[in-house]
Amino acid sequence: MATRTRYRIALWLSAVFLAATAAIGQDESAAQRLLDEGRLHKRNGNPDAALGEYRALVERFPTSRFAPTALLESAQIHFQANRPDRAEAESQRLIDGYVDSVESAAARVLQARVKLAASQSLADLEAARTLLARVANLYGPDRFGSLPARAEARVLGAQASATLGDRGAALSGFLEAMEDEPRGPWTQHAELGMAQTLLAGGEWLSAVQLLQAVVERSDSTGAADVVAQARTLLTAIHRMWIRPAASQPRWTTARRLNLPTLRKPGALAASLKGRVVVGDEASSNLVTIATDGTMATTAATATSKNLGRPWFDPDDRVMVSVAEGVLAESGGRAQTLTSGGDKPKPLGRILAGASGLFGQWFIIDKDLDGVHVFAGGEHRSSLGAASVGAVDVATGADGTVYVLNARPSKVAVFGPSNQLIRSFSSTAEKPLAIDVDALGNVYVLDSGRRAIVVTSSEGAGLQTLGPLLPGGLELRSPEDLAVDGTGRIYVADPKLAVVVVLE
Amino acid sequence: MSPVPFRSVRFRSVRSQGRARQRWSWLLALVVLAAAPVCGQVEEQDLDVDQPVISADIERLFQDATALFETADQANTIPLFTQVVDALLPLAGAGESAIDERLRASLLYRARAEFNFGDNAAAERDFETLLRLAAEFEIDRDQIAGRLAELFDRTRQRLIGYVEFLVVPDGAELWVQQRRFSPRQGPQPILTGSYVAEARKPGYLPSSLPFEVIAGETRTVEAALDRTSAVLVLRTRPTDATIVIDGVERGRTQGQADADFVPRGDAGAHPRADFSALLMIDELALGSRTVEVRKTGFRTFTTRVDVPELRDIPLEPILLQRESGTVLLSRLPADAEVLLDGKRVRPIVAGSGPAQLTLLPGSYQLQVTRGSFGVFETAVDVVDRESVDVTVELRPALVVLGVLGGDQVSADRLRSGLFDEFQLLGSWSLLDRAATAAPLLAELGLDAPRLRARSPGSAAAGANAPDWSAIQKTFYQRLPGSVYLLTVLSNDVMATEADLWIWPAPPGPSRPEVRSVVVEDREALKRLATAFVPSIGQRRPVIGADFLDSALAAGPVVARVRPGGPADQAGLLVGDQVTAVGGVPVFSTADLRREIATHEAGETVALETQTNGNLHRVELATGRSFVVADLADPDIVYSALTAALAAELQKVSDWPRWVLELNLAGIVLRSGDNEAAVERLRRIETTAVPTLDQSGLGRAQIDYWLGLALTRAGTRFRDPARDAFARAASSAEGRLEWDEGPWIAPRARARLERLGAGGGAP
Repeated sequence: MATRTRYRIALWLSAVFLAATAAIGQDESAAQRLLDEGRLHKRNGNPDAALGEYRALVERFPTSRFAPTALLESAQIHFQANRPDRAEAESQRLIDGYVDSVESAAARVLQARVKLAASQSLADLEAARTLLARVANLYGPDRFGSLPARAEARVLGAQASATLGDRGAALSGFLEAMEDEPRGPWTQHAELGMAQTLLAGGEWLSAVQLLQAVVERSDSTGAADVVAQARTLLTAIHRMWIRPAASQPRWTTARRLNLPTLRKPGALAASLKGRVVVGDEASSNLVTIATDGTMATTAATATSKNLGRPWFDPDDRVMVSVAEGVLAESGGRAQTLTSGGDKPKPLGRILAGASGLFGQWFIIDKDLDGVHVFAGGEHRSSLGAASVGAVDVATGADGTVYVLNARPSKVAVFGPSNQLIRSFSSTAEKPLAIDVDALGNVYVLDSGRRAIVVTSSEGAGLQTLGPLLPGGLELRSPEDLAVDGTGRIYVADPKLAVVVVLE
Repeated sequence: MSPVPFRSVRFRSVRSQGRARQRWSWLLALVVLAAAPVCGQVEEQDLDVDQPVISADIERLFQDATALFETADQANTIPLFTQVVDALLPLAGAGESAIDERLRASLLYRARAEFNFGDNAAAERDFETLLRLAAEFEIDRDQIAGRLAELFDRTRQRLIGYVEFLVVPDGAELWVQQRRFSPRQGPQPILTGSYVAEARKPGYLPSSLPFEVIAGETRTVEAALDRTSAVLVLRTRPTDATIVIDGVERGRTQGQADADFVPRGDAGAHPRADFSALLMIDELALGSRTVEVRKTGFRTFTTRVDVPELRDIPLEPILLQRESGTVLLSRLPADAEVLLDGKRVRPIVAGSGPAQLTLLPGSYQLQVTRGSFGVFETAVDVVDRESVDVTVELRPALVVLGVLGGDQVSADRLRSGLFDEFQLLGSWSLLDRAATAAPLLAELGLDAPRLRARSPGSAAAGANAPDWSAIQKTFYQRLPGSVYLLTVLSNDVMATEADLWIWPAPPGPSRPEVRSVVVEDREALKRLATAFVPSIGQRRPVIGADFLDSALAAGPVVARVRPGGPADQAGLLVGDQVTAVGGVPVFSTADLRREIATHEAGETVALETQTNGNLHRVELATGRSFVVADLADPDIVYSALTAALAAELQKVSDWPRWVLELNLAGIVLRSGDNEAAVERLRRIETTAVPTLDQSGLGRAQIDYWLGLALTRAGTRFRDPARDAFARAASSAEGRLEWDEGPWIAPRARARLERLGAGGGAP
């Protein structure tokens, strides 16, 4: 009898165990199905439906191993859809609910990205950097081995350090991402970042090695954008350092860029990535030239008056001032800018502008003296006395602002927090336009001498070109100048009715 | 069934000085004896009746009785001896000499006691019993009284007669009532009565001889046996060999040689005990006979025997030779361990020839191991009198510990995929130890749920870490090999993915590498298997220049020329553009490196260059560089590299030892065992300092890694870490990985700056 009872108990326990095991297995399968459905919706361009699947997963199976992944992907969708608050909230839910998970590390990085995207000052950047540093501390290699989120945090943190001017932290951050993390997608970002930081310190030979490494691994793990930047910098180094070292001219020829739709090219800009935009004084049209040479004409400005000088923002979008304000390449209405002070009034005669790292604009208007800073269409500050008499403004890749003053002829350099770092005199007789290449070299257009004056970022003279350019072309009445990342110079000369390109 | 009643009786000792106590003892003894049959019945199932022995209680009773006999209280010994006699008498004559001896002694003691107390008749009865048990029984006349001896003599005179047997030929056996008598041994005592003696000898007709024994008289019995056949007489070493004559089995050697056999000649090398008793095979036909001696595991002995007449044909002792074959092991390292079917054996090395194993014929699994450096396994078929040549090729061993996870279909698929791919690797021994590993894994607490929780992609990756150091040691001790591979399926129901946990044997790093694979992805397994063949021992050609790719040039541009290097000597200048290497056009730095790599280090290569529009051709004699493994290369299986490096360290390598050690130190550093990395690096630093250069790969890399290891080891090592980085930062030409790898100085400066800023361990 006792044996029979024991036998029944054993059978019963086995059945309960099997049922529980089966239930757990079924739950995990159902949770994985929801995750897969969500991902399918996301791939098919239906993020809201994806969010629904993810929400269902987390609510029905909060203990599933797929739940943190669902929360993370939800937060990422919100971030991409420009819903930073929701992204922040979902990330926090993940961090609180799934402590020590690898997804929680990614959530912390996402929170930092939200902060970086919303940064309007160095203090915001510093706060984001602190968040990123915590990821490396909380999720160390001793406990987590390979962790892409940690590598990402190190790279983003180092980039923030570079912007904050903390060169040592930037270098070591990039180095840790390169050497202390398994090679992966973030390695090239780190190599590029370190190369850029070394270049800023003049260590171009060490930078060449890192940039070459990025380029040579481009086939396997390369992010196209990173590789393109590396190629651009290598070309710039070749032009600006190696050619002179080999007693070769930096620019060997000048040619006319024939743009049939342009009758009177008067203003232009070039991005570090190689895009060019030219403004036609006759038609008020803008012509953009892509890196592959294809051209497109923008008629949006055709009805506008006072077409100013175009510029590129850090996301490589064209911005241009018109009488109504500032137009963005992405379309929409012009952003009206109003002057500060007691009696604000709309700005209608903007000469030039440039975009800063935090989305702010540096604007020169005929009715305002100096360079003024605008954010979200509102006047925030001015760059002060050092910018009085400014005729053009440009920003470098690191966010440094270069202001060209005509009287006296000088260049004032401002840091990311708009503080004056230095200024140096220009040899230009009648400075008219300024631009900066990827290495921080300064190009000033001297309309008086019909020449281009090239200096280092410190003001050391490197070369003066014009009026007779290599190859025999002569400038007639240059009005604007631009330089792309490789150091290729574009000059708008309305009298020649062409854009001159110096290679 | 013979009763053996006292075996289980607990009998209190009656050995005592006081009479009163002796009486109590007697009383107790009687009680116990009365109870004994009951006990005997209870226990009789346990008794082995075929092998009578003296029970412990009877023996104790005998000892107590003899002790009591010596105290002169002999009257009380009579019942005791009576109990012993009653117990042993039914067992007498069964061939158990101890029983017979105790019985005779008891009878003699009792006879002496009875005689001393005047019961001569009883004493005489005991003597009669004694003589009926053994006619040759004799008393020790020094021990007993003369009158008692006379009583014994009278009893013998009354019961015993004497017979002298004379049988021809010599060596014939003579049996009387199953008792063997030796002929020509003089008169022998026999109880009075009528008997028939049987005389026999192989090859002779047996003869029966009736005779009468009369008390006190001596008779002679004579017999002459008639020869009927020739007889083969032989003995073998070892015993239990089958004798076959002319194809017919005729006998089997047995027993042990008699004491009078003295091995001589070849037999003299072996002890007498190894030889059988003499075997005599009669009815041997006249003529030439073929005699074979067979025994399993021994070579058959065959001889021709001529039988010319009816006589004994004695053979020399036959020494059977064991069957054996020889396994010749070439290239067997002196310190390697050799196992046959899992048992350790010691091969014999004679002179400069290969090591030898002499083995019985059969199939064997031969395994040669040499710590973590390599394993060699093969099946060997040994045939008698033949030798098998085996060339030992020690290869690093990949010990496959099995697949964890309940999805048997995926487990089987993955297992077969792994074995298919890895078996193609000629340079590894693949050891399937899944069956042996299973209990070890359980013992160490390594199961699928725990390892899944530790997977790098899992939610609980940071918690509850297994003690990998202990795991590494345990597996190495119990399942020696070079690298261990344990597969964990992603789930138990339908697993599409799996993690491969891979770790090296000590002293390699104990932290495992984890590779994730898709179960169906054979290409991934192929790539993994390929990664188990790391390319060490190669030298890269160096040209002494750095290049860059520029949109302003159609080919790689010289960015820097190392003073005094190959490029410098060839006249290459900064800004030169290389257009072709060895006649092959190159369009990028990668092209150039690829083309240079097709040349042997040290070879001269023709470069075509373009300088300011002018074309040049230069001959460049490439240099050579050692290589240190890239620590962040996802295509390297560092455990396999560890094994390969360890093996390289064990042989005469054309690589300097410090390069191999530096590679190993890097792997240890990568694994996170910082203190071990420091120890290794400092050892290299100490031993290789004089030969290390400041330029290229060398001292700066050691300093840089030392700085890294010290930094990671904790803030207490910050100062030495700073010193190490400072040394590395001061090396203008120091490079990582190889002579044209990344410059160390900028990296060291960055690390130094980080430490100087109070960052401590990053």
